[in-house]
Amino acid sequence: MNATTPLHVLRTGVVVPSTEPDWNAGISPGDKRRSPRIWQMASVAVARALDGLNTAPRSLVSATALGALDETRLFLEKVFTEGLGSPRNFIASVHNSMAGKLALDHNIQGPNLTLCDGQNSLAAALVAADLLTPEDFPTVVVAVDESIPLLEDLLPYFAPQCRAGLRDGWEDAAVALVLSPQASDAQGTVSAVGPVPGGEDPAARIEQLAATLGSDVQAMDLSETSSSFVQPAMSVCQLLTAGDGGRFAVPCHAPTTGAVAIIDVCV
Amino acid sequence: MSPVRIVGMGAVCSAGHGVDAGFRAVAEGRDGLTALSVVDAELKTPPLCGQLPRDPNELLESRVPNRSLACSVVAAEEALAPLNNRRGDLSLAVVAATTVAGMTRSEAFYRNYIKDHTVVTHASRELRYHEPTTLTAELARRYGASLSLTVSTACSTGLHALGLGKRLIDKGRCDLVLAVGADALSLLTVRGFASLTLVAPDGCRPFDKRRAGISLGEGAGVMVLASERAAETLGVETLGYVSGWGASADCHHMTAPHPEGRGAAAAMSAALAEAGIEPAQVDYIAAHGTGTPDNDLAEAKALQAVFGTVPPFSSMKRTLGHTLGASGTLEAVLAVQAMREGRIPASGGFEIPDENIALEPSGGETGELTHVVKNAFGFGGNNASVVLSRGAA
Repeated sequence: MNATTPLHVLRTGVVVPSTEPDWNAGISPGDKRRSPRIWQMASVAVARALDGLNTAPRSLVSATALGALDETRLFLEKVFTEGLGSPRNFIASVHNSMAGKLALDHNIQGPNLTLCDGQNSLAAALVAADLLTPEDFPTVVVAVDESIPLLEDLLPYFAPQCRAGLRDGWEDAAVALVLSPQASDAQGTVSAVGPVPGGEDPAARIEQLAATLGSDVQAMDLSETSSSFVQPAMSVCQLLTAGDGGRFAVPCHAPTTGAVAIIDVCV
Repeated sequence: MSPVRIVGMGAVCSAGHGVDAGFRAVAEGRDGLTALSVVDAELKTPPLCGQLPRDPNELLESRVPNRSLACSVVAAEEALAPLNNRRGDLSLAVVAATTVAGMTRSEAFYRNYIKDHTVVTHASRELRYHEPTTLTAELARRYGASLSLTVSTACSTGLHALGLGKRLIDKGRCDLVLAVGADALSLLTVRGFASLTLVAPDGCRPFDKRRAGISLGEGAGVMVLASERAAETLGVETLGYVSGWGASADCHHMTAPHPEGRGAAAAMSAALAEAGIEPAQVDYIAAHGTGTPDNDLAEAKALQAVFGTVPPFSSMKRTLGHTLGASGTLEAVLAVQAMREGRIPASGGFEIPDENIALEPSGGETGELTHVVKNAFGFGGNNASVVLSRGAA
């Protein structure tokens, strides 16, 4: 399996609510009231990435393992306890609603895709972005997942491989990347290998994938990363903004399926 | 970009399993809707739905853990049968489209969890299939794929799976693609659409003056796409081609379509452009045709904007129900079969024309069909169209 064509990263935008208490200060009171928290995270990350960009994006690809999970929970809870689910919760529970809202907010009328491959979602989104036509660029790729209290309650009862991977918590975050095939002032490039089945030994499979990129690539150790769904996106963004030159293979591993991927970041 | 060959197709739907069973039903515009029984949706009056006539797991040698996956595997086995297990070193990607995946088990767990928190000990087993990617990963593992993608864009997602699959082959990323759309009926979707008051009390009537909403359904549609080299290596028959894919966003409203069908028209135009054909070359349009007042009107306006003189069109939803994540691929499979048999599916449920739409769907005409457009539009103003062709343009 070859890597996708490298895409230039024009801009990045990041939101990590746990480290930024007033992260949603710029969102209007109406949107704060109406929009699910995960939409707000994605919205702020995309707004930050688009700030100062002099070319309007033409398409959007979102990457999310579980979408607006809390809206799904709320809808079902109201059905089971009150006999009637809220249409607003239902609309928000649909995995691609967030991507539709972002397109609406930023008038992005081109292709609008949502890839849902666990921790491999960003890698899958990069594969999808690589399949767009030249007219569809720049494209916005936004990776986002949320932590909800219910998951914290359930975590002790998950399978050992999930529990071990998630020991660092279901930290929520949103990361947006504005990508283009060409650029003169890009922060770096990104491409992806996979998602592929991980087999018996996912870590070894990741090493195999990294080896296909060549000897100049520094592969991050899977055991040193958390299995938070947004971990790969955070790592990609950190590498791009740190500015230390080189090539890095960011590992991705979905413990529920065993599937793996790597994201090749060239700074 | 080049047309990509279709070398295998599979279907599971309200008419049963198999492309032939599905096509016979839609060709006649048969009413495939029955009162919901496969899901306890806790509704006084179960809505009419396109339900599978038997549990898809009964069709498998060994059971799989959820209904969406069972639908996928049954349809995939049919689609892959022409390859006869002789794929050799040809690389395979799985691109799967689903909205609920294993949600039915999550719903059952959560229903019990609310009443009794001690069931939390079953969380690992019951929630394991909640993530959409679990469906794709299982298919990838089962069929030895070297790449897997899960796309989830509500009702349009099945056509995006076909489009992404086409482009993977166009770009030489793989030799074969198993493009899958699958969804089982679930409480979340049944109650969700009910909460939006979008469900037709008497079943959907696409493009009819009395249309009052959708009817949900379940099933799977699968296509095996192949590069020219792969098709020649395998020596398999080419059933048709995926010639073009177009995608767009309405940027208008979260659930209502653009009133003039702007995004839908853009998706169709993009698909035609990629296929390299003119609108006048299209012989049939397999419409999205959900049966809601707004959707059908917007789609009709989009058809008029793109085609001027609109070719024969029909909706399969009265026969199949709206199978959500499955609908794009399932109806595309049946549209290819329509080309092969030279017969346009009838538009079940249509009786009285709507003067606002000013178009009447097809009634099952026969004739040569060279190019077909298949549409699918979803929540969030998400639009997808593909061009399917009998031969390479």
